[in-house]
Amino acid sequence: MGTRAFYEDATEAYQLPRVVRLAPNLFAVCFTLMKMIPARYILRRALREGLLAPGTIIVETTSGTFGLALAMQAAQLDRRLILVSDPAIDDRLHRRLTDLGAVVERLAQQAAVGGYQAARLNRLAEIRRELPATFCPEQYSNPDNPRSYAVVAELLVEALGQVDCVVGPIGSGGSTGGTTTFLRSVSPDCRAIGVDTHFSVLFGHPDGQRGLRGLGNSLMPPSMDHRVFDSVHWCTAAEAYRATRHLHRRHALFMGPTSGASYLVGRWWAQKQPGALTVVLMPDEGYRYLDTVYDDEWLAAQGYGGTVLPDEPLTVSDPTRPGSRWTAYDWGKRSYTEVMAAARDDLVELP
Amino acid sequence: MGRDGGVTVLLAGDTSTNAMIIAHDVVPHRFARHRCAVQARPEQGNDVAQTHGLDLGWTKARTVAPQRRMGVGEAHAHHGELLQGVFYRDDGRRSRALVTLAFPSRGSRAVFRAGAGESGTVTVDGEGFAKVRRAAELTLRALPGAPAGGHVEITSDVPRGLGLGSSTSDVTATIRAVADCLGAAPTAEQVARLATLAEGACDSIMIEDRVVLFAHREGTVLETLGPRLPPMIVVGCDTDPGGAVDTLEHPPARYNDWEIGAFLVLRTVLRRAITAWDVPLLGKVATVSAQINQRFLPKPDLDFLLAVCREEGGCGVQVAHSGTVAGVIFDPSRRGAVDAVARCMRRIEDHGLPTTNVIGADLLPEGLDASVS
Repeated sequence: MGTRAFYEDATEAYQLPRVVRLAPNLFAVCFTLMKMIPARYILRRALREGLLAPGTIIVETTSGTFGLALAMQAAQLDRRLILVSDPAIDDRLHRRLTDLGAVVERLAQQAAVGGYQAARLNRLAEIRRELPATFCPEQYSNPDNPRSYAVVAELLVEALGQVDCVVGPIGSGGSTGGTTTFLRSVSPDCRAIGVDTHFSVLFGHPDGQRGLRGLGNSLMPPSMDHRVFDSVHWCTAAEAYRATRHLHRRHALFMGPTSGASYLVGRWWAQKQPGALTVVLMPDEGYRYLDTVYDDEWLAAQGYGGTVLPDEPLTVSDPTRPGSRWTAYDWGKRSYTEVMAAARDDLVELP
Repeated sequence: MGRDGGVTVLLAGDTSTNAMIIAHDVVPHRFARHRCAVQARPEQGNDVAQTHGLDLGWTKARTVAPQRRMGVGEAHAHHGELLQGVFYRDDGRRSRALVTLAFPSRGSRAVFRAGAGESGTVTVDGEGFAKVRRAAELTLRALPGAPAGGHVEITSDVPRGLGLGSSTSDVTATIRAVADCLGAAPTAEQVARLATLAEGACDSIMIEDRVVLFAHREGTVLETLGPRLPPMIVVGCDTDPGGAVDTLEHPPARYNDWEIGAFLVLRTVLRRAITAWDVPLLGKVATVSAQINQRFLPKPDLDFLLAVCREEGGCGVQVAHSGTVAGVIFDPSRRGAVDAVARCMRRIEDHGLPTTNVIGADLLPEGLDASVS
């Protein structure tokens, strides 16, 4: 590839990360908007395959950055976009989305099972029935989501050569799973460490109230391949926020709280494995969180005071039980079913 | 064409080295001679090239010598590829492309005699030289002031049907011979485009001064990966003795989206391996490319070769993606490389596979002779 003098468009400019050294063997992979990668890949493919004719309306359920990436694409492609979100969508993001021309439908009611996420999916199906021509990127079930991350693996290999471990926050499993899978094509021993939060169903916890947003899930994404992961960590909101601020103060990296959670885990792993090169995926920047994570008063009011980072996780042997602090579990590249069956057997053996 | 079971040695990454380093080549080369006469219609000028959507630009080919009655051209063989797949061009389009592993100690030599075929009849001594005739005709038509026709005589020691690029070396030598006759000095890219036009697809043996990612159906360079390959040793063998693959009959591979993503990474890793002279890394790329190709043209003994590679401390296994040859890659700077290469050769032969070549054996400090005999 030749040196590019300029980007063809904003979505191309936003897609690739900066790779920043944090320690001799630890690198941050800093995205402005990581979800631009799957959004761009999926929409460009839809365009190529004729699924996105001028009258076709893009529809998706999201209250996060995937919606923003879609809205930027839709503005450039001159397509209409309807996003179904829950009330958790923050005001700044909402303003930005509507400025880009997206119609954002905020749901007030949760579903009985699956919370807002299930309610959003129900409403999405309803909208699609009402409209003549829609295209839904389906980030949680579309195999193009993990596949789109080949460009990240390519960039890491170009910048760093051998990568021994990828740490990333898990929402759909696409970024960490996809990046690691491509890196493993030449480095089969590359580790994948998933970062989740308590009361997320992704790695076995029961669904419940979660303080930390942007990672974790109330529903299991159909496309998620659990066999990619060597281990999984669950962080609390307080730990993630502290780590986010630590990352900013110590390294001047202004990132969001899912980046902070991953930094907490990556920093620990890199210290434990000085001979291995670890990268931490950092999906978005701090602007959206100026009034929360970056506001000491807000943190104190929420009971998230304190600045000391925990040194290490508590290793747990039961992946189904949520804790109240940073925990880690040796997933061992097994399928979800295998891990849950083993967890049940362990329970039976208890006196 | 006789098949050569002898063990030969050649040097990858240095195309100037020739058969002199074949210290233990037990079977003398069996050169085959073929002749074909060519009748061309020079009045059509560049039309043929243009109808194929190519402007060869040969009217701008440098004229270095006056036209003569005869021209000579040579081209070496290759030993399959280090990487083959689908890759992105700078404009975002995708092209099938490959990185050739040169095999400079085998090759073809073409002699072109102008005007010899003016009767209009075409005589071919031997079978399967339609591509040579086509290459000569296309070259004559692409060059201004070319004679009406002529004879091409090919001499080659490249075994056929193994993926060693026998027809590409014939075709490239022919294009060079015709150009030589006309006193023209085409660029490597011009020869490449003409060769793909004559053959449908070919490896990049005509680009000798650098390592390229080459669109083998278009005859164009996607990227120059580096000036040369790192010093390395490749123990080559024929994985299907007695079998042969017709390169053009073989359907093109249909890669899935994961594989196309992996090619992005493999290209970058290979660029790095070539820049850093990192043979172990280069070997990994070759191995993955060979494994992906198993879905399309499986080598029954790839697993055996991978096991030998692993157990003898090799760096990886490369294959001819549309042929039957394969090679185990060794890093000559590694301690004990001489013994490892010798053991590898013995194990491959004990397994019943004829070794074709050992590329780069002169890189070993003591040479290979002592341990082989």
